[in-house]
Amino acid sequence: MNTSGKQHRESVPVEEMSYSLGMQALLKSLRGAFLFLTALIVGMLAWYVLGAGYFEVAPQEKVIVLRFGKYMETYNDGWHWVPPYPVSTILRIPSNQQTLTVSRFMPDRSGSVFKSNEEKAMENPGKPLVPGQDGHLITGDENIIHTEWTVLYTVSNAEKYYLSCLTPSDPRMPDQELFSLDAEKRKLGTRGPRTLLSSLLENAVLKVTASQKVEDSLYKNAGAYTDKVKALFKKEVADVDIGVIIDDLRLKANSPPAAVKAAFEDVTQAAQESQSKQSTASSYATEVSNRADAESAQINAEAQAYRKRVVSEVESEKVYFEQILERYNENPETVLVTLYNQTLSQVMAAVKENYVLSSSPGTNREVRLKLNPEPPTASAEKSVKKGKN
Amino acid sequence: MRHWPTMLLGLIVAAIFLTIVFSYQVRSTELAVVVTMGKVSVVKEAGLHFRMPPPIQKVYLFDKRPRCFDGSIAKLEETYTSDGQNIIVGIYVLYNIADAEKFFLNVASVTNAEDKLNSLMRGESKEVFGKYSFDQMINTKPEMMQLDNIEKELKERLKKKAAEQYGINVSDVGIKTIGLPETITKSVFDRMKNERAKAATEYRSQGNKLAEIIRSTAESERTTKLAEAEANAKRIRAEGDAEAAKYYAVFAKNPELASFLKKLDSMKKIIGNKTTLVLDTDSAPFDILKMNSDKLGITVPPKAGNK
Repeated sequence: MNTSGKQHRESVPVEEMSYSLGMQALLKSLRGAFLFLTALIVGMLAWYVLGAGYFEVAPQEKVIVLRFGKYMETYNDGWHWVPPYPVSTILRIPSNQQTLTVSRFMPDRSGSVFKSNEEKAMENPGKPLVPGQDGHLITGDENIIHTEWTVLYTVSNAEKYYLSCLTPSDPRMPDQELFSLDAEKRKLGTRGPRTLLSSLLENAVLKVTASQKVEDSLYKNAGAYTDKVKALFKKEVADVDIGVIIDDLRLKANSPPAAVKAAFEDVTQAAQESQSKQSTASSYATEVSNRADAESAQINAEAQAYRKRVVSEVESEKVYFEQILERYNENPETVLVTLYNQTLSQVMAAVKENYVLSSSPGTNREVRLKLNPEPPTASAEKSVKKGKN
Repeated sequence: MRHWPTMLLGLIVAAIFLTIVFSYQVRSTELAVVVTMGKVSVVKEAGLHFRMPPPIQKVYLFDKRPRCFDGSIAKLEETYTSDGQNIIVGIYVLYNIADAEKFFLNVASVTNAEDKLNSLMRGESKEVFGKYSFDQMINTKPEMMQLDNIEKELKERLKKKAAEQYGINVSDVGIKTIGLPETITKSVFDRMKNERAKAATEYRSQGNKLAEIIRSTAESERTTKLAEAEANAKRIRAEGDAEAAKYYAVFAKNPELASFLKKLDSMKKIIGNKTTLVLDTDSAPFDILKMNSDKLGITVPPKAGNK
């Protein structure tokens, strides 16, 4: 190459003589174009090497760098430079919380996408479940139920996550979908960490559900049921060791199949009825008890009042008697007559009708009296009362 | 040397080009199968490796990370338990390519491998599930549960066969579906309805019973309380009477006077304004009506009582 360069330089003066000025101009412009292209290539190379190797770690992700395919380092934050592709490969792993919904144990979701799964479960009541379309679970007492779950998880170890679990080529993307090779192109399934987590969860749910009664999964102990599934699921996830931490597991929906929903609701209603009957009875019991207390108190109070009254009456009689006795001892006749007449006049004054008959001996008279006369009118009664007062 | 930079640039470009042609990268997550004129070798180390350009050397890369595969997404397998119950089972397998050479020679691609694995899973799960009875899979008693054993046995079988035949390492096998066929779900629904109806009746009768117990207990408690109160009241009254009796001793000083006073008192109490009295003139003070005018004097004082 060196020698050809020399030849080129030596030949220039000769050619200047023989070629026309036009040729010279062309040569000049070609040289200029060559220089321009060189500058462009160098510039692009520089831009690529310096620019493409820079990357920023976004807050919701971590970055893994491979050099010639070999794992080098995980970057948690900041700006970094690495030699660009093909030397280094930059992979972004999501580090924020991810949500995964597992609906495999719910009935067919075809139809409107706006309906909730529970509404779907209500559709076509009475129809048997179609395998492959309608997912279901069998409980320990051989009942069929549907459940739906939500998993919240975080990638805790980006390196382990990338190396020990088949991720999509961009780990931030959803799991890769696989289709059958034949003409139908049926969906065979998905591959990736989310598929793995779903499978583990399904396994845990199946095992726990198969070991307990239908009531425990649906009504009575749904919280304990979720906790059991969560514990088993966490253990399974820890066993596969893919650098993922399960933050939470939620039972999104649980219901009996549509065909038997009414029967289950009837049981709930019966339980409520039973409860309300008992509470009605309890309130009745409280009322009875309170009434009994009140009645007892009344009986007691009456007795106490009787006791006080009897004693005080006798006491006052005693005082009265003692005083009369004193007077009586001084002058018996006067005291008795006075008392007698006082009483009689008092009594007579109060009595409305008095009939005094002469009791001449020997006479034989007939006396007719109309007893129980017309009852006095209200005004009369009033006046009587007034008179009394 | 005016052309040095140009030549350097040319060299760099050529070097890059040659590197690309004569090298390949193996990622930390991959295994490489290198075929050199029909001779197969495996490269396990990650990094940059030298190669001859095709067709002399061909390089095939396989991802060695564990994959989760369930043969059941498209087709669910109906199988029988040892007690003749037909169930629908689905299992998943966590596997990875361990022996890349065997894998490359026997199945060549992941799709093909999974197809083979699927039929293997089907056959094995049919056999293993057939060894256990339905109540060993579905039972509220933990000691009867054999699901873990089923998984363990499936794993052992699949691990052995997959490793021997396809160079695949099976690291985990799990059951993800145990379902019932369509015809059976219908009868299960009927049974469930009956069970629920029974449960509802039980709740209702239990509720009635408990309510009745609560009521009758309350009633009997009330009766007891009232009886106690009555007894107590009786005692209090008796006490009152007894206390009153203490004062009666006074009346013994003059029983006749006491009796007379009592009579007067009784009369006051008995005779009200609606009473009609019929008296004769012998009774005081009307005896005065019979008195003769000449006798009107204070010589004879009226006698008390019966005159």
